[in-house]
Amino acid sequence: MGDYKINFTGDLEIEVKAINFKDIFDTLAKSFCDIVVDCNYDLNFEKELILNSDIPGIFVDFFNELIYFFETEGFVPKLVSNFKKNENTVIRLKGFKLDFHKNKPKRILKAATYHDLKFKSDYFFYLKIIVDL
Amino acid sequence: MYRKDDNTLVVKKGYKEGMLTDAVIYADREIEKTLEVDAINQIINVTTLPGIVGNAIAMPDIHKGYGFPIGGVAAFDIEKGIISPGGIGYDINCGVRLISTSLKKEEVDKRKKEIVDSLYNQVPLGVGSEGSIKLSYSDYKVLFKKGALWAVENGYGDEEDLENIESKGFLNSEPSEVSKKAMERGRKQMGSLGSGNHFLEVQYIEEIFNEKIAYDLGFFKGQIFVMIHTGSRGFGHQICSDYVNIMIAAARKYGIKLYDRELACAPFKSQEGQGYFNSMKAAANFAWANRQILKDMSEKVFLKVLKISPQFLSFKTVYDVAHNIAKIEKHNINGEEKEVLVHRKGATRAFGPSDYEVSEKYRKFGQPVIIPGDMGRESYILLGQNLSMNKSFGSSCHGAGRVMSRAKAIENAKGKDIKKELYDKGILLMVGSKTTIAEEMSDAYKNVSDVVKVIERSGISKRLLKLKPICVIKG
Repeated sequence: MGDYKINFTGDLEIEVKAINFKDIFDTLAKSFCDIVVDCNYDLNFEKELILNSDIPGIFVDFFNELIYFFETEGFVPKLVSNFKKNENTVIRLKGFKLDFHKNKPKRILKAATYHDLKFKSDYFFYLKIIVDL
Repeated sequence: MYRKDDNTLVVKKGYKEGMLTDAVIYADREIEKTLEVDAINQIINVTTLPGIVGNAIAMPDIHKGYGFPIGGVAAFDIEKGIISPGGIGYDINCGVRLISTSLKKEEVDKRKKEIVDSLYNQVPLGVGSEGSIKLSYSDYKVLFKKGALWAVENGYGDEEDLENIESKGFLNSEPSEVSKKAMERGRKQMGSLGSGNHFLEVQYIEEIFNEKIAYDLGFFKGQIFVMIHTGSRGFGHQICSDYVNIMIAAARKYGIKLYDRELACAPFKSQEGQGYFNSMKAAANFAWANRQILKDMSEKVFLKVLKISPQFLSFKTVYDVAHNIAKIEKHNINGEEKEVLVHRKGATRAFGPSDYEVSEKYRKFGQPVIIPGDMGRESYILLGQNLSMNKSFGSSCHGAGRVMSRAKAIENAKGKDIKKELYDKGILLMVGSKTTIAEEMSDAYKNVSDVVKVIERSGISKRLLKLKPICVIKG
């Protein structure tokens, strides 16, 4: 199971350690959830994402999709329930929807960036991604 | 890097491979101590971009951004140069609107609690805030063409406001270039302040630096102003995200060497370059309409709380400036007037007196340059000077500039009651999110007075007014 660390510099820095590709996306989803809300909701909503970008840009694209889902639908992903890598990467996200009128999110995120983006695969996978606040 | 004079540092072309020109940083010896190495490297990287004209310039509020530093200015040849989303930023046309009233500080002081509460309740702000307006796709089509005028035509404010907005509050854009995702993201955010460093403040004139000009413009000591700092919200953020990806591919396609991926760019005249420019202009229009609507909302609050007439309140836009934008402007390049594409990221246009772009009201004095400080300290109104055209493509600083990370600010704020400290200074604070209080504390920023002094000594802009806050509303 992956792990993550969140640092608030001038912006938001997320460091992810994971055991495989699915685990990277899963851990990023968990970190996103932790950043924007208190994650004490039933996981009763799913969404599918198809990405076709290369590594490491795919992680930036993935995080930006999470921001988009959140701002437009209030969808908060908590985990990746299914992951397929063929020509495209197909990711099924499980989470919940937040009603902004009833529950205020903790933070609004502008965008994931390529700034100081780091990705390493050794004994485990390491990703650092910077998000503009 | 060497010191050219008391207010100017220069990194000469040749210091780093690929530099096409010098990098100039406006900083005195005190500001120099606060400069981040990363930010200096970023302005050096800007000098490597194809078609750069003149020097890459950094303002005294320079700090690390993505691609360009915040506080960065660079101009590019229209035919041979590039356009880069990293030179504008994620919050396209983040900017500031200043509004004057006929009220005196004493009149507002006794009612400021009601005013701050009412502004806090009436103006959508904070994380996840939705504006009061839901945009349809047909609304967007008109908005892209009209900017702030769209808001006026929909009943928010007066046409008189438009005269005192940079570019009259609109840039002609082509709607087909804007992604559906951007429109969807911005659809419910029109008429909202947002979060982070965005704010709405009630301020008063504490000091006047030029009595004659202040008198001519109708300003007096103790006069109440409202300052609004916000931008294009999720709409602009999405456009930037969309185009950073497109520009990474474009840079590869056109053989542009990037020293930082966030400097991703395309030739200005290319399909990708024009696509971004059109979309950026649409986002600029969104932001100007947004600030126009927030101005109208604020006016309604003052009228309701104080129970006075609009004529008595006289709620008028002093000026509205963009500080994240790219524009085609005429500048003198090697003795010849030429159109160039000026990128300003965390920098404010500061055109001098007599410039045709400056509205008639200010043509005698120079364009008002609005420089907000942090939430506990002063803000400044400067007037652009003609020297800015030679020194900085008619640009000035945009604010105080961060010196402390958010994490450090949160740590330093532990055990402090920042709201109470501000209250003791006569400032009432209302905040949408608790973490914002710590992250936005005064100590997290440079002292804006130091930044502004460098700008004045450099001859770019002159101080006209010093404003102090009495009510602060943050997202």
